[in-house]
Amino acid sequence: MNSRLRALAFLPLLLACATAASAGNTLAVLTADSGAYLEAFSAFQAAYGSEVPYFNISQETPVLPPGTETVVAFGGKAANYSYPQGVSVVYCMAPGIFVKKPPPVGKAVKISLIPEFEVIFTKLKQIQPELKRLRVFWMTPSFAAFYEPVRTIGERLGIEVTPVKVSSQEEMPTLLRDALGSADAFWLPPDPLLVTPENLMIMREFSWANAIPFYGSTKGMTKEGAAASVGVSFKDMGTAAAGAALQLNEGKVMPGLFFPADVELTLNASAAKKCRLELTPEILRQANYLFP
Amino acid sequence: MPYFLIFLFLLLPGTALAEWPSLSEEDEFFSLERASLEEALNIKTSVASRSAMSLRETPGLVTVITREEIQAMGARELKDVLRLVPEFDFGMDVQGNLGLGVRGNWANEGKVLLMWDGQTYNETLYSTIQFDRFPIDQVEEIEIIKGPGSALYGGFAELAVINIKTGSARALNGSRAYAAYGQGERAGARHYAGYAFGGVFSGTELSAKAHWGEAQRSDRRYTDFDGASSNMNGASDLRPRSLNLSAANKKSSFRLILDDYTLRARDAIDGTVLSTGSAKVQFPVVFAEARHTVYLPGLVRLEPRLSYSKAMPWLEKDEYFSYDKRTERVTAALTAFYRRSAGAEFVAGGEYFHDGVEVDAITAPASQYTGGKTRAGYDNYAFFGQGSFNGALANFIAGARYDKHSQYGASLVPRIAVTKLVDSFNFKAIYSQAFRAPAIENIRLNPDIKPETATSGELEAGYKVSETFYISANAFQTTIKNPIIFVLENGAEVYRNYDRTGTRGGGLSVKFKDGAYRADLAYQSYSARSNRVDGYKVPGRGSCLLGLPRHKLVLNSSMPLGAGLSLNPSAIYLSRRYGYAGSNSIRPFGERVIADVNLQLKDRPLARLTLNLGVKDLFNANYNYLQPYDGGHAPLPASSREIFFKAAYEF
Repeated sequence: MNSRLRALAFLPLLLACATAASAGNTLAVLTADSGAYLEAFSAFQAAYGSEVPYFNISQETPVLPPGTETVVAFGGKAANYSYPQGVSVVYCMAPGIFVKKPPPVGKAVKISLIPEFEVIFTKLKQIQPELKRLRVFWMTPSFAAFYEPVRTIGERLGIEVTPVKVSSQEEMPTLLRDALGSADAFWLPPDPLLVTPENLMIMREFSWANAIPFYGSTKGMTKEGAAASVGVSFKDMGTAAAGAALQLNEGKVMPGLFFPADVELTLNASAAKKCRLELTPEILRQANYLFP
Repeated sequence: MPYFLIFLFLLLPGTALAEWPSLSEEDEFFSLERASLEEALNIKTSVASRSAMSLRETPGLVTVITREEIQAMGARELKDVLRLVPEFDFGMDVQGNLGLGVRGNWANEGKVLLMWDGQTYNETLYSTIQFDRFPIDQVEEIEIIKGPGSALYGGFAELAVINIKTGSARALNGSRAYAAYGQGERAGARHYAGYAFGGVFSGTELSAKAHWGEAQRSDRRYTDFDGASSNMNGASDLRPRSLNLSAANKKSSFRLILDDYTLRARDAIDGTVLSTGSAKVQFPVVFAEARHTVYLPGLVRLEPRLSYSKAMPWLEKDEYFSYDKRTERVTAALTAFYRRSAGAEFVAGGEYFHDGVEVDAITAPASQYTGGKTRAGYDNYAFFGQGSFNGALANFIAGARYDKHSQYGASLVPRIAVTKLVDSFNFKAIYSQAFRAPAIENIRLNPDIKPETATSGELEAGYKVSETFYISANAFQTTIKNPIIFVLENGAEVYRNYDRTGTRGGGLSVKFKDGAYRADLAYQSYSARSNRVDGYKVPGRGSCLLGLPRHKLVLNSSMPLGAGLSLNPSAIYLSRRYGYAGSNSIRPFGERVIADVNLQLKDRPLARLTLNLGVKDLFNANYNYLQPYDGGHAPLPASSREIFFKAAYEF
């Protein structure tokens, strides 16, 4: 049963949970009860092991039942909601959010949408062994926290990583042009302000026209023309969120940012060909998806 | 003509219509996350520079009013929102139609550009705007340039630009239904309802919005200068109806708007009371538009646009007057956006439009063309360009627009602006020229009419005291040369160019926002300058211009009262105004405070239900609209205190 069918199979159960809002110590709040959010929540529910009621914050205001100890927020809108003091929060699928009044340290954990940078850059080196200069584009303010980590980790792997702050989406063509001759590839993190259909098209066209690989961080980016993406599936994010919620319920202190262990590697054969990349049998074996 | 348009549509790149990919889960995810982030971060505005810049840096004195603010104030109509802009005030034009004053200058007839979802709502006979026709509950955002905008927007944007956007298909994401009722002191003031739908289907964004309304201008008594009076209650109907359809994919968009607005008024064009009843004046219009986005290999973005509008403004077929003129405007435009580097950006484009008019035989002889002509047509070509340079010293913006009209010749208007953001301070200095293009009827009545030109200097300084507190001050000077003035001579319309007029002045603004608490306090003042138009003068008061207050203070605030409940008081103080009290007799009209209060309840008792209950004109100010020129019209009473209820539900 694929993840979508599994999600649909859970739907009646989820609806019952939402209306009953039974007492329990964990509550889920979804930005939308459809698409990627539902996929992640379904996986969360399966991994959590018992019924978790949920609210769709786009349709109703969350009401925490008495005794709620942990809230799992799926998406930025759910993450930005002000939860009562004393409640632990797991932020899942909320790239770029900054919470104005976060819970105390140890009581909140964000599930990363990407694997650890070392894992990402190692995979990119496997795909493009001659990769030495990598441009990273970002726009959401909270991504600035990764500025130094990506440079440090890249240096350790022999890659000069240059983070480039994008002030507006209209700047992308110029920034890409500026990279000509000074970058071997560019990488786009899951930054919602930059991941737009228009920008992906611009990046694809630039990448293919100039044979400079564009690496993404989601399966969708690979489908849109990135040569490869090293990311985390929505299902695995949900599973990781379940693990984090269980640990918080046990009173354990969690790190502020948690990287899921499972990696989703997706490849685009056409893009690789345009960028003169040779996809080795080894890398093809590791891939979760290969787009033609 | 429609066949010609279909042919032109077919010339658009075929891939634009063929490639409509499905919207993936991931597209939807990033779109929703982007919306959350944009809400949490800065508001971007595009109107003053036609590219996205933050409000504090954009090269114009710009106000942005969001849907949240519009709903919180319990706005009944667009006028409720625009009156809270300190630079704006409304005056009386003719036949129950109101016009806008900007910084003390009468801006009716082609001096303020109003765009609704990109469509220009200035009708092309006289360039007037019918402010009562717009469904305020469909509005997502209003961007206002409180100063000249002709350098980018052309001949209607001489003194201000009002850019109104309704909810996009993605923002609607379902359905929204609303209904409202207002009860005045003496009678029902208004009732209206509407429905909006929007969604994304296989990558195509579709939206449909419908509105139906009935209101009346006032329930008070109007008395003309001859002493005749009539009860406006039941005789000053305002009836807006509209349907707004749109479809868009990644690269192309299409829009169709059908809009039929009717007013009834018992005051004739010269202000006299019609003895036997109200005249019915209609303003039906149809807009159709196609837009496309093309990315060139050099990563320049092109936006071609083709628009068509057909209207019958001021349509009247009754015993009082016959006026039936059908206008058409076809516009073809191409705008290019190019970002040379992180510090330099360019916008350039060209626009052609053709204005046509056909006069029906029933039209009164005074409004016909001489010599039996029943049609007329004019062509206009325009080229515009603007460069923005973001340097270490400051941001520099320079641009210009050149228009060439087949009747009145050429206009060239430049704009230069400097903006600077230094930590918590921001500064703006703007010099611009603008023009008002003579409209079809201006040309018919005076073939020698020339465009009027405005020269304006503006300064603004702002200081962000904290994350919750922002203050700013502004100063301006506007001079209008060859102003096109409407007068009635022996009951006949006349348009002439006069010498010059203008104003200078300034204002202060304080904004506070902390969570759900919000308060905006703004003051604006003007003083007449270089005014040589006798029809605007107030004898013995050289600083004043007719009809518009010299000082205006505005308060707009919101405070939470409990779960989902907020209190939203607002108030407008208008200083003394001067207006005609009879033939050749000008008198002062006292200060007024117009206060409103609105209670809003969200998500209770049902989720996604919003209820508003408010009182408009809490202290019954007995306000009158004055005519800011010598048109023979007595002050027109505004409506009395009104209790207003509105419900909106999203599903």
